[in-house]
Amino acid sequence: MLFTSVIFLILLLITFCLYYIPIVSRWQSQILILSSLLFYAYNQPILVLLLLFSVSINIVSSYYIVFGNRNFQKMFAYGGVILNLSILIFFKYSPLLYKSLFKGSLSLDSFFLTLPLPIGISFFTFQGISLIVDVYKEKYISNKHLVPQSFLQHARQILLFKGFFPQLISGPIVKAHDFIPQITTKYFKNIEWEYVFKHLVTGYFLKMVIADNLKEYSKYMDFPYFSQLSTLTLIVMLFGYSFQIFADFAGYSLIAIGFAKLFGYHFNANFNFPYISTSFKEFWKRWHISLSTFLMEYLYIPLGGNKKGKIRTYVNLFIVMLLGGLWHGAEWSYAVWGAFHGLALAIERLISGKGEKARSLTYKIFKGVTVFVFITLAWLLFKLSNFTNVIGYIESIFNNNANYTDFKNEFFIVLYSLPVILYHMIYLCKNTMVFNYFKKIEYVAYGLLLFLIFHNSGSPGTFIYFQF
Amino acid sequence: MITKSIGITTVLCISYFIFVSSFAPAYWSGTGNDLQPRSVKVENFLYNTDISNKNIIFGTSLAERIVQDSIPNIFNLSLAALGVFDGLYLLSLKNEIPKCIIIEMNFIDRGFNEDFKKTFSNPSLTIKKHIKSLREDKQPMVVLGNLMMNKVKSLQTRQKKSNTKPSSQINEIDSALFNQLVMNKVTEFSLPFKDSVINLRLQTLAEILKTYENKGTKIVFFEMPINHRVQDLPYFEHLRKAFYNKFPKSSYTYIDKPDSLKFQTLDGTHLGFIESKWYSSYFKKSINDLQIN
Repeated sequence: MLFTSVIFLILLLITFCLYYIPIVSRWQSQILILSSLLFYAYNQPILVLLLLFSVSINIVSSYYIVFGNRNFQKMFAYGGVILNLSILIFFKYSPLLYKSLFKGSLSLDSFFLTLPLPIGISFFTFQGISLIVDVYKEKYISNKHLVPQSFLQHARQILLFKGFFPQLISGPIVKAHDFIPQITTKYFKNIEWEYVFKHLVTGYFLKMVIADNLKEYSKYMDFPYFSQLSTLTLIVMLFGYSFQIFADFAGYSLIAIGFAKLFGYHFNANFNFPYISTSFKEFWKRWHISLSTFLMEYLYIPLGGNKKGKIRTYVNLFIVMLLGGLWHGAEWSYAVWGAFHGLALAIERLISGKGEKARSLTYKIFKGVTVFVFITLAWLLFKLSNFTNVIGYIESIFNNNANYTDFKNEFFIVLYSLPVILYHMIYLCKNTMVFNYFKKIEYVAYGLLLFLIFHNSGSPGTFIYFQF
Repeated sequence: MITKSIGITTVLCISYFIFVSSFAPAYWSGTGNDLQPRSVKVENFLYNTDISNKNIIFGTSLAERIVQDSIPNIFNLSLAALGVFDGLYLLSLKNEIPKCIIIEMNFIDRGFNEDFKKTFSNPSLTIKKHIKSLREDKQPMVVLGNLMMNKVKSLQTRQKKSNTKPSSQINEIDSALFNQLVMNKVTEFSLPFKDSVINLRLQTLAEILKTYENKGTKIVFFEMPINHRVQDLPYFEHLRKAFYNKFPKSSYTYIDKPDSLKFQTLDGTHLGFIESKWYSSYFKKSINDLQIN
């Protein structure tokens, strides 16, 4: 079910009305759970069983880590994590592994290559892992705040934690220690309407007006279209895709955060103006923050982080980004994309000097532009999962300078990219008079965005991150 | 803050509605991406066209290449990425009876596109009918963008005369790529149509057409020319036979393919610019000969 569909808005409205009726407030969790299961079941009802199976693993393992036999604590923790990963590997990566290792040699093509990819599996699996690790390690919060004595209450909490519809299929990846303590009775009077409004309007604008319009141009980045397009068109489309993927995913995250707040739950920001970054390290602190913090907390630090010497730090960075890349999709191109970022982080760490902060504004701008260009180039691996096509696209950039350009598509790509650039520019000006003035009249901007949502939306499309 | 924002939105919406409905000049209309002309065509068909005395072409992106401006009294409702059934669905929303229904045969295997249908089964159909400003060709960023583009282009033309040719000429297409695309089509259409699918489609088509025939609409079938290496592959041979069985030539009118020409197309199935122009003339002549104009 899409956040932009009418059926979703109807479900949301019904859920919202029921949720805040005082006499049913004790069943708030159940209302959200039911609504979330309907939300998930809308396209592939059978896969709800998989979600419930995954949730059950987490309910049982986390409960018995706390209340089971102390000798088996470790077994439940490791078992829980392994089972979570097994589900993810089976559904998401077995077609890739099969294709790479056995295709044609076994008569299982029809089974492995047609396995359904359950929507949101990467997100809810990671949330499950965060629960088990949080409960086992007690690093962030005491177990008593995460796992109540009552098994039923615990089951309900975990079902809500993993299934809560705003974050169920495309994140943000909410960690157990952030979400579970928030499960209490919510009141209508406590809704932060302005926060909700701003997030929803900005999110829907980025998704419906920017991403949905840009996608009509970036579709020509696919084979064989790109081979006939001019150098200028190919470059503009690549940058357009960079803005599209931001608008699509940041838009989704803002909508998710807005809806979560509507039901009284706070999610941390998932994007923090990533395209102003002047280094890859900064980029990963601003892009898909819930994933990068997850990888940091549950993979990089357990691997030793930067505490085991320089070489090991570089290796750790590389491994984390490589796996982070593969998390995005079951194609080797995602692994290469991750490896590219891992390598960039390692090299950046290797060459970065201590006097960085004292550098001039021009230098910072140069660095920012360089980082943005490399990040944008790397998105090509996202868009074209076939390496031959990635190479072909780059070759076409160099070879097609004589091809015809009518400038119309290029013009509209720039036009739809401008609001994203402006969005980042406003943030850059946050400590200036301009920003203070803008804050005073921001209601005009939100009014205009709302007008454009009604009058200038593109054709509805699924969110890019749904496939992950 | 929320009230103020919603107030601004309301004022903008009302002002834009009044402007588009009453004051907007004819040039206040435009399309940006390649999908929008299709949406605009659909909206024109649904909201602006009286079809009671019109001949309507239903087809896919293949028949979309027929230039309707050159053929009087025709509305070309061929829809890229969609098919005949989606066009007929739109016709059913009109509650009007056309003079003649002209059906492209090539890709009749495409059934109703449920997502496309959904876009017209929700309130937006009624809303857009009455609120012109919400229609696809009135998107403010697109219209303003086009105006700016045209301005820049007119300045450019003044500076230098363009020496470019339309990009869709066959001789501009990379021959290796073209051959690869045609070979892909050869592979794709080397197997015959599945009988179960074609029977179902033709049965559905027959049922829909019957309702219009009973009300006096004439039915005409035609096949868009495709690459000569593709046109007689088992898929299309099988398709033709199935059509002639279900809709016998003795009872229905068919516009014959121009057999004398070997079409190249751009990718094995879609006509290029010059071929489209040629076929449009041929189509116009055929329509005149059939006296359904």
